[in-house]
Amino acid sequence: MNSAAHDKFPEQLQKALDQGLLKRLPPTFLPFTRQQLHDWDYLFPYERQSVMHLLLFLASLNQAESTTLFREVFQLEEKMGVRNWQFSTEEQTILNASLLARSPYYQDWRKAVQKVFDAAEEHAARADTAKASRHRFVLLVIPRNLPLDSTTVWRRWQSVGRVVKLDGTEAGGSQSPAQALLATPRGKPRDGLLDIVTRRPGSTVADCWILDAGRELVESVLASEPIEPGSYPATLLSYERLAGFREQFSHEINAMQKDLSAADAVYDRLRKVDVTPWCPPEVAGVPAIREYLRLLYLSGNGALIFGNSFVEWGASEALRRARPDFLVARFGVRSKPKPFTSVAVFENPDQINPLPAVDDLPGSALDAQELALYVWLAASRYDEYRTNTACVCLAEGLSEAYVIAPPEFDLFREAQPVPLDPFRAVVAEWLS
Amino acid sequence: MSFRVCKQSGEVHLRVRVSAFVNTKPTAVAGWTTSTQALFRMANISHTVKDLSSRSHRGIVTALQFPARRTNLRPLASRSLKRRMSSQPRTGVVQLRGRFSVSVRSHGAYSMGVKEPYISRALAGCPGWPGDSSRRDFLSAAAAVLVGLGLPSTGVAGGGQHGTGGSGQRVVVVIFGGVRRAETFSPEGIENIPHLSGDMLRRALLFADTRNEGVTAHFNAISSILTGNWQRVDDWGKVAPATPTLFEFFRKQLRVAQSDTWMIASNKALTSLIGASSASQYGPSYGANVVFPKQLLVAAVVNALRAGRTGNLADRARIETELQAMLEAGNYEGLGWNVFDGVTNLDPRVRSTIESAISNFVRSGGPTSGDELTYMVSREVMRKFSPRLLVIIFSDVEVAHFGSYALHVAGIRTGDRLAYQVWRDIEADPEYKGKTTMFILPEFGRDPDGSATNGFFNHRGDSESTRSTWMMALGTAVEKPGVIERPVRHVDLCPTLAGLLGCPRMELQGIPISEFRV
Repeated sequence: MNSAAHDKFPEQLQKALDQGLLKRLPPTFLPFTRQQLHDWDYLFPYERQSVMHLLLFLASLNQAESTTLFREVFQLEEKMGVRNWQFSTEEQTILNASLLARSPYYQDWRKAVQKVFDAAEEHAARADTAKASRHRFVLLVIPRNLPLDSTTVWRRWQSVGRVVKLDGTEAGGSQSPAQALLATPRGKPRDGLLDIVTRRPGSTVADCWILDAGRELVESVLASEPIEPGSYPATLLSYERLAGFREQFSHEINAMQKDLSAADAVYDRLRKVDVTPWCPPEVAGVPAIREYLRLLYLSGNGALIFGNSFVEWGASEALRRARPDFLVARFGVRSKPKPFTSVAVFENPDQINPLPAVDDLPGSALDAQELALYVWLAASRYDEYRTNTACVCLAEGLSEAYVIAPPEFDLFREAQPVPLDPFRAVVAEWLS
Repeated sequence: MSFRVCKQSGEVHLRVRVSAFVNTKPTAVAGWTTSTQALFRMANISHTVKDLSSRSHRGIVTALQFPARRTNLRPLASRSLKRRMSSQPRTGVVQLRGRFSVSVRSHGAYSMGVKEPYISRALAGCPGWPGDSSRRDFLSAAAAVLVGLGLPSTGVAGGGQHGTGGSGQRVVVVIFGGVRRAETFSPEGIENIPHLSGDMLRRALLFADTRNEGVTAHFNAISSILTGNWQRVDDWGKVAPATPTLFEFFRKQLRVAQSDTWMIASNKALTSLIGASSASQYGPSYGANVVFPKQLLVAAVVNALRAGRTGNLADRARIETELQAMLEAGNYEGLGWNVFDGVTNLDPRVRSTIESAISNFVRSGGPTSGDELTYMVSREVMRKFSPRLLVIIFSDVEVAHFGSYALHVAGIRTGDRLAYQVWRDIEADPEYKGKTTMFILPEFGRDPDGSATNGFFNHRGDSESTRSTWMMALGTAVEKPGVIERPVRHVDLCPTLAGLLGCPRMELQGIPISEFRV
C-alpha cells in the first residue's frame, strides 16, 4: 500500500495495517479485505464502519485468539488445496469465486467465514448501537398501470403485516400517489419526507435512496426544487435515465467470450473504465454512487436487463451496503420478449428487433409483486430493520397498502381508508 | 446403414436404415438391393414388405430408384417418402438418404424368443455373439452387405449405424434448469405444471425428494447426472467431466453407435464437452452427439445484428434464412456442437434434421423460445435417428437469473408442456412406444425467498430449496405409479439408466434406484 493510500484510512486502522494485520489473515479472506481497502474512497459510511470493526477486532486479538478464530478457515483452506489454486489474494475475481464454489468444502468454508464475521459484528454491536436504533422507512411502489388482483396481491406476504386502504383521490392529475407522498406539502416547503431524512444528524446521501424502474419519481424529485450539482437530497437512481450507462456495459459484456479468463478480463476492464460520461448528472457527481452502480451492473441479477430487477437488486444492495434510513423502490413495466430474440443476448432488444416493443403488464405486475417482497426480505435480514422500520408496499392501482411496522407506527392501526396527506404526515412523524 | 431387429407382435421385424453418401455408380444401388436379398436368403427367412405406419418411414429418400420389381422390396408407404434424384453427372455419385422398414417373418431357428437384438453389435465387428447358427449367418450376411457397399463397418459419418446391444430399452431424460418445488410440486406451484401433475403423474413414479448434493451450477449438475459421480469441474464447460458419462458406458460396453446417443440442450452454460468425459479409455470416441439449438438461434440473432440485418429478425421467413445461414457457415464448434465428431461439415442426415426442425420452429407460428427450438430438434432427431439414449435439456426457466419471476414461471409452463409433448411423441412412435422410460427432473432448485443470494434469481445456496427437487419417471420401467418419499440423489440416476439400458454394473457414487423394472 503506498503512502497516498495511507492518508485515506483512519489512524487506528492504518496502525493495524502497518503492524501487519493482513499477514495474519487466511488467503481466502484477503481478496475481500484488500478490495475493500482499495475501494475505501467509494465505500458508503456504513461499509467503512463495518470494515473498520472487522479489522480492528481482528487486530485486537492476540496470537492465540486469532489462531482460534481462524482455525476452521485455515483447516478448510488446507483441505480445499487453496495454495495450489490460481487464487488471487489481491482482488475478488470470477475465477476465485468459481474455484471456491466447486470445492466440496465450499459450504463448510462459507459457514466458517460467517462465524468470523459474526464474531466481529457481535463485538461491534456492543460498541455502537446509536444509529441502529433510528426509525427507518421503506416504501415499495407497484404503479397504478400494473394490473393487480386484490384477492391475491398480498398472499405472498404471508400475513406478516396488514392491509390498509388508501384514499388516493387527492393525488389527482398526472401525479401518482407515490409522487404525491414524496412531494413537499403545500405551505410547508421544508417538510417533505426527503427534507426530514436529510436533516437527521450525520445524514448523508447514502441514507436516503430512491430507485425507480422508470423516470417519473426521480424526475419529480429533481424538479421539485433547484438542486445544486453534487448536493442531491438522496441517491436518485432511475433505470431509464441510466440507459446510456447500461448500453456501454452491455456492449462490453456481450463481446465477452464464454471463458473464465475472458470474463475476468472484461470484469477487470469494466472495473477500471471511467463511467462518469455514461452517468446522468445526479449520479455523475457522486463517486460512491458511480462505483455502486458499476458493481451493481457487474454483479448481474438482471440489473442490466429489466427495470424491476434493477430496482430490486439495487435496493437490496443499498440495504446491505449503506443501511439507509429511507428507501423508495418503485417498480414499472417491462416489454414482452420479442420473437426469436433471447433476453440472454445483452444487446438492447429494440436494436435487435425492429418490431415495436409491447408492454407485458400482467407479467410486470407479477414481477413487481415478487420483487417488492424481496426488497422487504432483504431489509429484514439486518438487525437495523427488524424492529425500528416501517415498510409500506403501495399498490397504487388498488388504493391499498400492505404495512409491516411496529405498533407505534400509526398507519398500522388504521381501519378506515387513509388519505395521502395523513399518510405522509404519519411517515413524517415516524421519521422525525 | 443400420439394421435393427425387434420383437413385435409375434414377428421379427427388420428395419433397414439407409443413410449415407455412397460414392458409387448408380448400378451399385442395384447391388445393394441384391445383397439385401442375399442377406435375407442366408438368414433363412423370407421377407415381405409391411407397411408398418407412416411414422416409421418418414425419412427422405434421395437419388434412389428403388428397384422394387427386382427385389421384392419396396419403400414403405411410398407416398410419404420424398424421392429426389441428385446424381452428380460428372462423377456419377449417388446420394442415398432415407429409412426403410420391412417386416421379416422368421422361420425355424430364428425364434421369437429374441430378447437382446445384437445385430448392430455384430455389424460393429463384435465377435462372439452367442446366437444360434442362423443368427450367425444372418450377421455374417449383414457384414457382407456392408463390405459389398464399401461402407465402413462402423457406419457412416462416424456412427450412422444403429446399435442394438443391451436391453433393447430406450431412455429419454428431460432435464429442466433450476426449478424450485415451490413453483412446481407444491400447492401454489401445481398450477404451473398442469401436465406433469395431471396426465403424467397418474402413470408415473414421482420421487418427491430428489437431491443435488454436488455443485449447484449447470455444467457440474448435468455432468453429475450423466456420470453418476458428483462432478466438480470448471463451471464454464472448458473441462470435460472427470469420470465416464452414461453415453460412454453405453457405447463402449455395448458397442452402441454414436447415432444412438444424443444430447440436445438449450442451456448456454454447456459445451460439447458435456457429451464425453476426460477419463482414460473412454472419451469423445464414445461420446454422444451434442447439439445446442438455442446457441444456433442466438448466433443467428447476433450475426444478423452485426451485419445490420435486424429487419430480418422481425420476419419469420427471413429468420429462417438467418438460421439456415448459420448452418451453412459451418462453425459448429463455435456453437458448441459435436455431431458425429464433425465440427466443420455437418452430417447430411443431421443437417436435414436440423433444417426440418428449424422450418417447423419458424413456420409453426407458435412460441419462439430456445426451448421450443430444442424440442423441435429433439423431435426430429427422435424421428430420424430413434436414439436409444436421448437427453434433452430445457432452460427457458433460467431467465430467472435476470429477475423476471413471470418469465421464469412461463419457462416452467413451457417445460411442462414440452415434456408432455416429448412423452406424447414417445407414445406415438413405434420405435419408442412400449420400450421407453422417460425421466424428468430439474438440475436443482433455486435459492429460497429472502436468501442473501437473491432468492429465485440464483442457485448457489446450501438450502433445501436449492438442493431438493423431484424426479418423475414414466414408461416401461415403471411397474406401479406412485410417490416415493425417500430421498434419491442425482447421481443415482446414471446407474439406474445404465441398468435399464443393459449396461454392466459400474462403480459409481450413485446407486441404482430400486423401484424400476430392469
